[in-house]
Amino acid sequence: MFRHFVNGILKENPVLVLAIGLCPTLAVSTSAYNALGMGVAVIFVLTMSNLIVSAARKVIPQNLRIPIFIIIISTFVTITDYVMKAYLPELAKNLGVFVPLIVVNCIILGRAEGFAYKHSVPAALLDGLGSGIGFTLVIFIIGSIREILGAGTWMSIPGGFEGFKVFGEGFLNYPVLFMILPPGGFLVIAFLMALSRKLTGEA
Amino acid sequence: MRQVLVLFIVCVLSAFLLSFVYGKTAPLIEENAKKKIEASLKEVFPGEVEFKEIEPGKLWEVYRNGSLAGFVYIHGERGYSSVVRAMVGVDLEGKIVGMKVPKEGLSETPGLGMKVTEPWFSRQFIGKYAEDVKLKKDGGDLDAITAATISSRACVNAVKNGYIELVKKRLPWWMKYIREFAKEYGIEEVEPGKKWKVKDKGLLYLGEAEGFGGKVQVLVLVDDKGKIEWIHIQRPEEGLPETEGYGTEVATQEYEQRFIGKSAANPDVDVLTGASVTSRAVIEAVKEGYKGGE
Amino acid sequence: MLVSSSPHIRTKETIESVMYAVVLALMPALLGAIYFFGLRALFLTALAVISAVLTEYIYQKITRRPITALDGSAIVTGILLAFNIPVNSPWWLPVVGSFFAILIVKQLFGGLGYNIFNPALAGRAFLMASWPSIMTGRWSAPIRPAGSTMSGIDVVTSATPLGVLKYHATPEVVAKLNSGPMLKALFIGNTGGCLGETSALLLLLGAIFLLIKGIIDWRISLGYIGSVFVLTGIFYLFGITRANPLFHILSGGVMLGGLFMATDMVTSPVTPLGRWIFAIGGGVIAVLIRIWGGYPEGVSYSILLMNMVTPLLDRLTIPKRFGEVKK
Repeated sequence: MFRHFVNGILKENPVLVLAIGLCPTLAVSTSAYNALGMGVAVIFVLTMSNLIVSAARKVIPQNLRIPIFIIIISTFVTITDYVMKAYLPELAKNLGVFVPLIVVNCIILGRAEGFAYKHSVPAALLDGLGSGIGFTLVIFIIGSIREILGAGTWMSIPGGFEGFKVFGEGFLNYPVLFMILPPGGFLVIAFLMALSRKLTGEA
Repeated sequence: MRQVLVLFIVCVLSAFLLSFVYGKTAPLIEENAKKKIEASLKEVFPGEVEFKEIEPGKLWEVYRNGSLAGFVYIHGERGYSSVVRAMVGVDLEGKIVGMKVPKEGLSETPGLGMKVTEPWFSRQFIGKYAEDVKLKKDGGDLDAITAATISSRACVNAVKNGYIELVKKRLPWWMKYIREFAKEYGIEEVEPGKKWKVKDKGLLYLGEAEGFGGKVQVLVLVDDKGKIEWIHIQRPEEGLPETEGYGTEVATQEYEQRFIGKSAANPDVDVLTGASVTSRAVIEAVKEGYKGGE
Repeated sequence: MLVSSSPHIRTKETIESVMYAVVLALMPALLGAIYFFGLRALFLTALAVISAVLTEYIYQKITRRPITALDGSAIVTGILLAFNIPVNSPWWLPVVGSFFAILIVKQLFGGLGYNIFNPALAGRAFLMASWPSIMTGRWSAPIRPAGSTMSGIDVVTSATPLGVLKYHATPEVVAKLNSGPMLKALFIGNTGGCLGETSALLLLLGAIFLLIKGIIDWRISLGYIGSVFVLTGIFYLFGITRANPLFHILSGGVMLGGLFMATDMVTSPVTPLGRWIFAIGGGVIAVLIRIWGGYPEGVSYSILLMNMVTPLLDRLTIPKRFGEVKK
């Protein structure tokens, strides 16, 4: 049972191994805090949708499953969007359209269709948590690397904590802007993918 | 049939859940938005002031102790790769009291054009007349951002054109004369919108009285003995409420000349035949405004 | 007929002779840069070269590949990268630029012969994206300015002629830019700009040597510089650009790009027709960026964009064997 949890983090990591959910991964990983916010939102939506889909899998008709999955997912996404706007307005502003876009994140529909619809509730729950945490870990690492190199800070929070100045004050004047631009995102993902292949012994 | 029912139930449950969460969060979201606008307004117009929205999202009137003290406006101009918007607070004279470039929706080149949002750049606008801002490159005195001329220029134009398009037309007609005095001699406000002290010159005041079609206003400068040194009677294009041919004759330089050198407390100036109501109103306005000005 | 499309590579001995010939050909321009901008030009170039060679050596050592760090190609990349930065750059700029050019653009794509992009140009693009304020805001006037010809364009001290054309083009300034003395200064290299790009004369000198040795193809150079000349000439006649075509080919990086970067063997097509298309396409893109783009100069991006279509050009222009039927 527990392997469903671990699978999502390592062997079937959505971003590094399955290469899905790349759009939000690239778009909001410009800072560690944004990445973390996105990760937590995805964990919530993924776990809840897995839970509901799995619990209701006996009553959901086969040929209507996709529309129903989408309704379930978008319900939780909208809840996340409202809550974030109400309690974390700065984060909501930074993530912008990518919160509503979690609806079309293929990780979530993928897990609902590929796993939750066929497995028991506890398994689906663990799978959702595992995949969500796997996604969050990766996007957080990418966000951290990009922020540290591209802005010179780590974990800076808009309108709050100004972040750890990893390379000192001087670096803040000339950070490697390239890293927070889109090509920098691709570069970091490529390096992480290569690293994960190396570690899992696939290359 | 069963399928329709299932889909229906799912939708109903979803709608219930969402309306519940919406009901809980909507007031908070609204409050956040309000707080945010209020905070940025305060940032560009500091002090004990209240804001009143005139044009939604574009123009606010600023009140201090109940009287109009200035404006805050937002205006955008095309920059290098996006629209550069400036949020500017100006006093009634048109001097900038605060300025910032909001990051939302701005996508200039990082490291170059994006620097318009940095405080050092907006700080240099403070104290300048919004209508006259110019980059050093264009003959003014504002520093542009190195290697980001287009974005810097867009920002300057946003400040300038926003003032012309939004604020200028709303200023009372006498504002431009006040500004001229301010530039020439330097002035000090005695009573907001009513009396000003002009350095080495005397007292400048606004007087008004009921005319034929509404309130007639005059702007008068008196020396410390109460003698009229300069006067301007509101012109029809400045909003004099009289109709052409019935009273507009008083709003001429010729009639103004007759006031020069007279005592403001009791100017003995002839009433114009054919425009007696209006000219009486002008004389009355001169007296009214001077009251308590000694 | 056996034609392999890019990426392709020549045999080992010729790599070295070719690369060192290119290094030699770049020497006049380097000496010119030292003369015009001072010893700092040499210092930055040396740093770029050392960084490029070291990066290649360390990468090959770690990945246990044959060491080819001194085959000359890394040296060429280093010199060209240094030629593409302003002389006022901080010392670490060429170091980081060469590191990126060699590691990411060259070695990670498979090393010499497999890289899609010209490493020096991609390195420049990386520097441009990361530190735009240094790359575009720190021009220095040559230490031996061309005297009175430049007075009146006081902004020239802090900008390139192309920057002046883009952002400060009043009629008097335009007249100065199009004048004989200005064109002469551009030809000799007495103007602001990246440290190795300013002297058309010295670049041409080196390029003629390479043309004679058959190392670079005249089609690419002529196609690139010629299309810039013709297109800006047409635009000049119609009043779309206010500088004359001579100004356009002598200013900025057209000479350096057209003679030494577009002609890079690895990243340009192999077939003659492909080369013509590659060169003319690059020239057209450079002019379009200059006139309608946001930057004053477009040479480096034009060549990088054409680098991308090089494999495609090769595939489309390989001559068919006699009797081959189109499928």
